[in-house]
Amino acid sequence: MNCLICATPFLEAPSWQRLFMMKQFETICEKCKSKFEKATDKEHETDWIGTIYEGALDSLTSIYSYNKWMKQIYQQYKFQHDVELAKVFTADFSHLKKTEHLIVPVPLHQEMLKVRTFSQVEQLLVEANVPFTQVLTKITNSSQVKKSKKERVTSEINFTVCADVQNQTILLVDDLYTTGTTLRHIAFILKKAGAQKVSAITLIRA
Amino acid sequence: MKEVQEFLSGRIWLKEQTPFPLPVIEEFIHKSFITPHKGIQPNNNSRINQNEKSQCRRCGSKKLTTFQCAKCNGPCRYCRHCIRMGRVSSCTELITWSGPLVESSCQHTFNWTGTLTSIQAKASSELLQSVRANQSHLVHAVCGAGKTELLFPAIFELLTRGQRVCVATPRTDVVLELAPRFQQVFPSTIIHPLYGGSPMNTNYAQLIIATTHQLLRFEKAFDVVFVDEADAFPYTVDEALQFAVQKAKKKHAVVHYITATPSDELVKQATNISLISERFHGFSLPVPRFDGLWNYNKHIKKDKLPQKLQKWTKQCLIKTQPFLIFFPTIDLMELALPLFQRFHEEIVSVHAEDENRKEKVMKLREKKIPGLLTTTILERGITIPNVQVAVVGADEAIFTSSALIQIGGRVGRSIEYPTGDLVFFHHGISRAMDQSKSTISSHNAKRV
Repeated sequence: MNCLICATPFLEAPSWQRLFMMKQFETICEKCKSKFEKATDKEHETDWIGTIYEGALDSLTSIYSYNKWMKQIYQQYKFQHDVELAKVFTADFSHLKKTEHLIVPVPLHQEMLKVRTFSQVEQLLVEANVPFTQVLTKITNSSQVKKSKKERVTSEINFTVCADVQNQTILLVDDLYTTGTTLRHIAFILKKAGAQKVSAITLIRA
Repeated sequence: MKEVQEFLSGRIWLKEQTPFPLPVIEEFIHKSFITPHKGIQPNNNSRINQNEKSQCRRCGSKKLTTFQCAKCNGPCRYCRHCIRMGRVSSCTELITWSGPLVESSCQHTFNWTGTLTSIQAKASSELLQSVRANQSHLVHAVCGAGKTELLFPAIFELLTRGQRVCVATPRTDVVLELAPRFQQVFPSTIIHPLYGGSPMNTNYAQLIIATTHQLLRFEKAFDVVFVDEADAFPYTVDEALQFAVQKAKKKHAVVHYITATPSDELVKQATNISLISERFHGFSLPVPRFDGLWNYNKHIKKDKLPQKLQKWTKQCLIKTQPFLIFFPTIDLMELALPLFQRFHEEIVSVHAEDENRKEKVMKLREKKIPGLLTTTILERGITIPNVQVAVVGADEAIFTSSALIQIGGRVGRSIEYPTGDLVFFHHGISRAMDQSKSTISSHNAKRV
């Protein structure tokens, strides 16, 4: 097996789990793996207290921190369209197979999807064999990236709910958590549409 | 039109990523001045198996990744090998210029006042003969022989004949060193240095100094290609780079090679060979001495620097001679670094991914730091007056005989300091060590 990131051949340590197919094949070598850092739990609600979005998002989990290494890998994945890199994160999402929640990835705008050729969020779930449902549509092709923090907090909601979510417990999946605007907007409209609980998991916490 | 023509001539570029607006490109395609090609192409050789039937049009890689593409609405294949230059996939197009040829109106001047030694001059004229006869030539010249200068006459003649010339090398460091030298010698010629992250120029350059990697972006462009340091990593292990050189040259163009340590293969494929066994300053090559450094690995892991290595380093520090110490792995080097810093806290280490590599080498040259610990990354391309060199673990497999010869080539390069210490510390003498020593000695014996 060659490492998906650095391309050097590597050997996986044999284990009983591996032998009985309880564990998936490693896709990257130990060295590349060790450069990722797990995210630390950080306060995420403070900025939203007193706004209409307060309490919209019931909980948030982020898997990795946005260190230099992650920036580089993520750049190659999302902007150079290296779709296969989704396999690097398979083990981080495969536990979602057992969840009772309705799994909803944050969608791309149709035009953006054509340009990018794949949805960087859905692909993570596809590779991890996690079933998901799309109940959202992105209505304007705009990005939060170029906006300031203040602009983001007061910006308009870019998404609509396009399916019945009455009394559902929803787990949103997104790639990158920066200020949390996107996730709160979505949680807000999902709750308005009748969702009972909305939590979120993101690959990266910036 | 001129701008698009000058930029695209000889290049193969992703249609969506040119410096020009897409409608402009479309119009030229309509006029047949630009030809689009599918990014992933079927391989015409029908005898190979189904999986290997397609290849990347840019780098020739047959290892393709399939995914569900939202642009072409179906399974699509892309190449990971050259993805850093922009992704090539089944539904992307690469474009080449097929319109009128560029007429180079450039008047070239040759501004070189140096002189060649008689041995250099002989090799230089032999190379010129081969260039005229369009036969592949190998210049096998020892480290510090002055290889670059002897290319000048041949390149000047090619430029004045209106031919497009490329000097390619596997290493970015070498491009950065060569480009300003060539610009000085050919002041009125447009020269582009190309490497990962180099500035984008859209005009037409008749002389290109590029990493072999950047040649992936050329097709049938050059009348002559010179490959400098052709045996350097990654050129020898990465097939795509050899493919790149073949693809970048015109069909009948030949490739000339220049190196201090040619592989047997390189020697075999060359029609003509010039051998230079003597350095430009006439002094003999430093011959390595072997010194046992038993269990150096264990000692370093126990936070102890072996006595002999301590003594060697202290000598250099006392005499204020700059030094390079080569290590077989980054891990071992990082373990040893704090041990060296006990003698002098400004001793630092470099490796391939070190962003400050250039600055650190510069500091050593300017004597702002006493010495550097390094991996094989500094085995070639650098000149530091009066440098002393030690290899720790010279018996490790990574130190091939050509690596050891190149490392030895760092010593005694300048005419002010034509000698210096070259020591191979080892835990048992390897065949590569013996080979490098005998090769160096035989070069010295051949000196006139």
